[in-house]
Amino acid sequence: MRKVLLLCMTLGIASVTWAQDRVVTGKVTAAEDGSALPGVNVVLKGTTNGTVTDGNGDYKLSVPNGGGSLVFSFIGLQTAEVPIGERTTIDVALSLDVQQLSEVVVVGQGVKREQRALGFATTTITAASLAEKPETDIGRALQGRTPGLQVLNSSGLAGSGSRINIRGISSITGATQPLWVVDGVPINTQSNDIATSFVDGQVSPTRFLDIDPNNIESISILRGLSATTTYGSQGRNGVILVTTKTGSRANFNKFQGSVSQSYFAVDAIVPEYQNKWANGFDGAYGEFFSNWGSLFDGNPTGVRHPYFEHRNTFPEFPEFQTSATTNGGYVPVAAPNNVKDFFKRGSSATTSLSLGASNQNGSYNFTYSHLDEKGFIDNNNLVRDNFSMGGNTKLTKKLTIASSFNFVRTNFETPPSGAGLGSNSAGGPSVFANLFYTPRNIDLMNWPFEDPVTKASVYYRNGNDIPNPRWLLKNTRQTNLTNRFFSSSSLNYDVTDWLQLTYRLGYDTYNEDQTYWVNKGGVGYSALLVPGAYRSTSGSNRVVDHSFLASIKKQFSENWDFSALLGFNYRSDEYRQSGLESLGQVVYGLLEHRNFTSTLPRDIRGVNLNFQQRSAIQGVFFEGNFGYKNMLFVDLRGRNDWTTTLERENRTLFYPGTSISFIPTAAFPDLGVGFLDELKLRVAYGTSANFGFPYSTRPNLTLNSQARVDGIGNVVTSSLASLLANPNLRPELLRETEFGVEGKFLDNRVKLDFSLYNRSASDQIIQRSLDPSTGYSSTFINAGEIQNKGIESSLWVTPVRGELTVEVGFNYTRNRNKVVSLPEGSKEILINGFSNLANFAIEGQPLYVIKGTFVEKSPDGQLIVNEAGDYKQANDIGIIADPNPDWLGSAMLNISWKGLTLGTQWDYVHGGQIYSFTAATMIGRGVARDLENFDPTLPLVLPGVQEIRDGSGNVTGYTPNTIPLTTSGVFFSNTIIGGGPDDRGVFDATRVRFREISLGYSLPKSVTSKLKVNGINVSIMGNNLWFRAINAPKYARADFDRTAFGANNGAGFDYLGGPSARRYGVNLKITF
Amino acid sequence: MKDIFKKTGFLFLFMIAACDMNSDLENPNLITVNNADVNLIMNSVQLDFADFFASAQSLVNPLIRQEAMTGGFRYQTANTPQGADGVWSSAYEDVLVNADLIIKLAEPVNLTTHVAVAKIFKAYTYLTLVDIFGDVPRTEALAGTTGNFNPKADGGESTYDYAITLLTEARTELAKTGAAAGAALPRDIYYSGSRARWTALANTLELKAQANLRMVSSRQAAADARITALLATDIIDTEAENFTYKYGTATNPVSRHPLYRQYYQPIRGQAGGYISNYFLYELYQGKRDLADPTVIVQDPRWRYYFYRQVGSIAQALAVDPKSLGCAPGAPPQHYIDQAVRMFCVFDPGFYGRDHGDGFGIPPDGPVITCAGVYPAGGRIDNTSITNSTYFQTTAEGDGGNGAGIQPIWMSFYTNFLVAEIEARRGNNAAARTAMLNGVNNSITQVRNFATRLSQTLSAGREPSVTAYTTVVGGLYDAAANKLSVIGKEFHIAAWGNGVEAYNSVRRTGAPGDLQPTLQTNPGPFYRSYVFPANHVNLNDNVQQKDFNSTNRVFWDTNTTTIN
Repeated sequence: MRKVLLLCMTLGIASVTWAQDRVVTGKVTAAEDGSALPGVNVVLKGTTNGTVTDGNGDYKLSVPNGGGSLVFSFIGLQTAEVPIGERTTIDVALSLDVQQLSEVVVVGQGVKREQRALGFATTTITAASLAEKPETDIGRALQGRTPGLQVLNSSGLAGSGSRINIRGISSITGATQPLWVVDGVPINTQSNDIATSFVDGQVSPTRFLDIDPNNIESISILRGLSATTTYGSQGRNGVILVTTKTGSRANFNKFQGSVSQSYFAVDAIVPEYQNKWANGFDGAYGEFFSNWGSLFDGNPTGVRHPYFEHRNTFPEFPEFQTSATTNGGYVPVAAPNNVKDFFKRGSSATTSLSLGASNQNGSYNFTYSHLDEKGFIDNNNLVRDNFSMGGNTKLTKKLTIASSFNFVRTNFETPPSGAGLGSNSAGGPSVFANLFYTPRNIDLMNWPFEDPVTKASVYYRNGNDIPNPRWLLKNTRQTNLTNRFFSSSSLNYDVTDWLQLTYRLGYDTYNEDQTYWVNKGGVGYSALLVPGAYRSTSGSNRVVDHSFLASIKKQFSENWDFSALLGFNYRSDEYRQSGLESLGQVVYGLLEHRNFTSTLPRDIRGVNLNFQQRSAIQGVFFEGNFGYKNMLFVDLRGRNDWTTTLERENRTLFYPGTSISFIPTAAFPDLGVGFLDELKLRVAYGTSANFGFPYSTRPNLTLNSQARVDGIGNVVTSSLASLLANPNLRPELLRETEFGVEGKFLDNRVKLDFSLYNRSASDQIIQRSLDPSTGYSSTFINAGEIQNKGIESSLWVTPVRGELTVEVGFNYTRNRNKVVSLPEGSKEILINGFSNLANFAIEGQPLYVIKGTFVEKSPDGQLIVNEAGDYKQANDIGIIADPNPDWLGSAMLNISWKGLTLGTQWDYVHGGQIYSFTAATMIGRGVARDLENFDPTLPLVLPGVQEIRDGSGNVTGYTPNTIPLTTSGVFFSNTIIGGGPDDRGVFDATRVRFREISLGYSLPKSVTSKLKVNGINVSIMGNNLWFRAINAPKYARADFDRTAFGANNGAGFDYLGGPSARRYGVNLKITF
Repeated sequence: MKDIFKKTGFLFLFMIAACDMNSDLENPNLITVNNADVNLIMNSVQLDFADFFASAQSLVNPLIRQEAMTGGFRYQTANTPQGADGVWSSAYEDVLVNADLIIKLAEPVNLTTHVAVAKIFKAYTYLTLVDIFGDVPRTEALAGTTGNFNPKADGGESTYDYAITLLTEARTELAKTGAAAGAALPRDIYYSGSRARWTALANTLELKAQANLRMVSSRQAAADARITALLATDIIDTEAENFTYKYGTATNPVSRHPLYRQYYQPIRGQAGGYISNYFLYELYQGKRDLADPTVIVQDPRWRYYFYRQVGSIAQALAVDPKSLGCAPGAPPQHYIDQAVRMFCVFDPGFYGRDHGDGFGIPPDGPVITCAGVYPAGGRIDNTSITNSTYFQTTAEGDGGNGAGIQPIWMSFYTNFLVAEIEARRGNNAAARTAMLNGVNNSITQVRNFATRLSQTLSAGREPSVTAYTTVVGGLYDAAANKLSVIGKEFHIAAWGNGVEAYNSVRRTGAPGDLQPTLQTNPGPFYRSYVFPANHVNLNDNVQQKDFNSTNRVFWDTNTTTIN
């Protein structure tokens, strides 16, 4: 902590001097360990005459003759008042101030401030809670660590992407992901997945995957708009400030280093199956997708072996010869582990080395880490190498330079997981689409999966209409190799002791090479891909960010502090991609464009693989902070931006913010003595802007030089772009008011942080889907308003403190989201999905409500059954689900005793609904263990009522339904698996999760000193060990933290994207 | 020190200079409107028009039992609003808005053919939208640029009138002469640059529109007069004048006929989709000679329309006993009650699907009956009907390799239309002649098409044309309602053109023996299609139709019930 505290002293402190008579010198050290304390305020009491200790903790101050006292103060340490007397040398040791403990936090643009001075909510997460964790994706490691934040993920596959939302979602169709700022400069964390449609792939790797959790010093999360104003429009969805160890200017005293090695096992969390009933329908054995067949009773079925068609290809399996005439046919036998054994135990190993040293002129450090992760299925791997180096040095007395450079190579591969509909995939091949409902007698892992000669998929359905999942595992792939360089360099110049100028350059560039391929020989997915396909793209992204900052810090008198920041920022983003897609593999196995019969510059969905995009934004901003007697702090801030994404007359917007923090306990020192240590009230108003995506204001025509080869020959076409240009597009303004209370009670044993916020985004830039009868399919418009109101709270209690310390923490997040208004004359806006089953924005409803087909209900809410005994589907689509949770909570327990630490985290999500194919398929296909005691031969009657009609056909009443249906009639035709109404696939998403447990042991000093090291720490950890969606089928094990849309907008859809992972293992860290 | 400071300052200035905020407004990936090339846009519209037709015809043809309706047991579940999205966006967003752009660009520079062709495409598209959906936006349509995102629908009749006006204007353009004005389209997949044929098309399309308008009693007299006038002009009445889109054989970019792509997959034995059992049965053994009811005449086109992968159902079961999703010989009670002739599958090896069979799909890819050579560009069925062990699956590359056509308007359609009009006017003899001309021309042109793709039958396999036309003539003579025979013959001749078949079924009520849905209570037949999801869900001024009532288009005054 102290190291961080020292940093803020890079800013000068006023020292107005006048007539002096003598000079006092001395050294200030920490009482705790005797280390020198730079940056300590030394003031002659009752005057403004003072100075600050240097890097070695030394100070020198002229004082008048005649005594007086020196006051030594430093944030977080007890203030010492020492009478000068006749001495000329005064050395002081300062001890920690448990009373004050006002922490210093990074609040942006390199500024660090006391927690108490802040008028808005922030959360700081330190390295200890992030590094060496089983999660290799830093985004996911944040879940539950702070209120106000929700993380969803695309699956538990190694390298799969995550989606982070802070304080709800404020944009209907715009970007909703927070800005990541590493060492003061923004980096790109987009997902550039070349599976352009979620039906082809739901992996969606996001580029914050490149951040090495081991190199993180701390993470601050700025949630409110008043906190993010100076980051400009990019910060409107919250800002995640990452300070890396290499970018940190922490002054450690000497050489310091550490090595750590971790090893985690990665297991898939798969459904539990029944093994009582075999493949079939309505109680009869047969080769169906479904498992509603006969009992496993050892009797012959009178039909052939499921692999009978392949009997001649595989003579080594004599049982395949079984036919209806040999011994009465095939006897189905359960293969209990057919799905379970498809998965393997994955592993994740990280080796990390960190070295650093410092002297009075600066510091230098270096980190290398290597991650080797093998996912829970074959061919899913992630290898990441991070090299970071950084340092800072004083070039002259006034000029400091600090830089950090990071090079990352991230290599990721996985079989694609397209959207599964409980019967094959909706788009491209999907390794999971046909796996989970594998009938219980299909011995997936022991029967062959490929033809030994042609290498084509071999499976149990003779129509060859379903791919063998093992074939897909081997023969389909999505790969992503990223070489990334990002750096931050800054020059600081202390003009005077109250004015500092900084120039900072951020440069983030990466090259992402991706491929997507399918060998020939498969079936059951997009026919274009069946003859083999190979897509390769190379995307290069560049973010250049220049900032010029002037920071002023001045103490006018003992009572008044003033600091200010003036800044200019210019950021440009550029992305270029080139790519090709080839179809028609010639020779099996070779993946080069030359081995394919045709090649086009676009993918099978018609998406051009070659494009470029550029945008830039420049802004000027200011921030002024006034502090009065450490009890009242007022901030004013604002930023004006100019963007290249909008036409000249609309391209600028000024957005201000203010916040006030009041410390009653400082104003009234007697307040709650003995009970209340510190109380802070804060209120903030903040605004931000959104300037939309590039190229939405000018009309264009598309060109396709190879649209088709028709009866004449190649057709070159050009037509109006389906996006309607809107030259009048204006920036969108977001406003937020925030109120908060922070309190520390009972000798800091209880800490409470509570915030209320109300954010509204009006004049939204919305990509509105249009009725094609307008001539276009969508346009960007300004309209509508979205409101997010929420409560965020965290409570930490330390019931036991001392050698044994027990800490309990709770986070609570509740966000209420509402679409207040929509564009004039539009009922609703489709956000993501299909045109009749999607996330919508509808006036008066929460954002992302799901509309789909549904069963009509009687006035008293009973489902109506039609004449055929099936559910009566309504004419139109309607709202069937709201994916927004009611609230999120997490509970943490940390215990430390001597060298032992124990930490656990439980997460809970209350409410929200999800349209889940995982849950629906496990039940609808009759495989989940939930159905063990269900007899598929029995007729069933759908719960509901039938309409009673009079002679002229009018409904006069309702009577309970009595029409019996077969199992298939109920579980197939009346569920989403068999095309039943969509609301049959909606489940309550309430879920509880054992997120994390870790047990660590630090060897005592007595041992480590013998080994000549500073410390040795061993910890065992587990992550995502258990979860349960309380109101969903128990054994389906559907994880509702997943989102089929990856990092894209939209929520509440699960299309069999893959299971989530359970991780556990051990970590060893040695510091020296 | 100062030097460093100076350098920093220099960098700062450099950075300001770099802030060019104007250069990134124009999308570098697309063409600016100033660079629009009217010929390329015309190419685009020609192609998009074919796609519009293809999706429109395949949307409605399961309703009238050419292809099978399999998406659900009821009309509502088998024909969802979402299913019509493609037709809708293809019509407005691809064809109409770009046709308008062509007219805007071509008119000032006197590219009369461009203007005329664009107007003809517009007219056909609007007529078809009205025929399928009823009232659709027209006066307020295509006005996205003016901010009207919720165009109101116009009455179908007014849109019909508008389309007829467009056709008249197109004819005026095509009548212009001169070096510039008389120039042909540089790339014309439909008519290879012949302005005369485009004129004939404009005349024929008006004829088709007037035939529908004639159904409205208040319009009948005027329509009749126009019909008489139009019949005296150059209309599509020869094979060379056929209005067809011609597919190619490339795999990538996807260029083959859509039906071919469905039934001739990259991997052998993966055929998908179903032809309606009704249609298969009707062509193979639907016609009995009235003179001798024991004689069943084969339709001379069945070997061209279909391709059987197996020679018998027994063979299909030998390929895979699970390949049959239904039980032949065990029809549901209401089929028995109504004496429905076709159910499940039938020999020799015809494997289609019943109307409204929404059950799961068995592993039948290798055995289903596929689309044949006409119009999909597939295989001719050259298998002896006695060869019960025949088994040959389809794959990409077979037959005509997908070089099929969209038969948007064939000359024999004109024959049938004339037959229908004459019958309605009470000229039964003229109607008979026109109808038999239609039958003969249809057979001839189907055969010619197959020959061009080198798909010919072995000697003795060609069903007799005379036998067939004789029986049809007999049926016509015996029929009280002549339209029932004309309509049925047209229904057969219109294979691959659900748009015209759907119109004809609604106008004539024929064929009157269409197979009912497999389950009872299918809900009312779609006398107009439900509105597309992308229209209803995105436009404030639209209400979805009531699935529980019969929704007729304006000209559908036919009182015959269609099931």
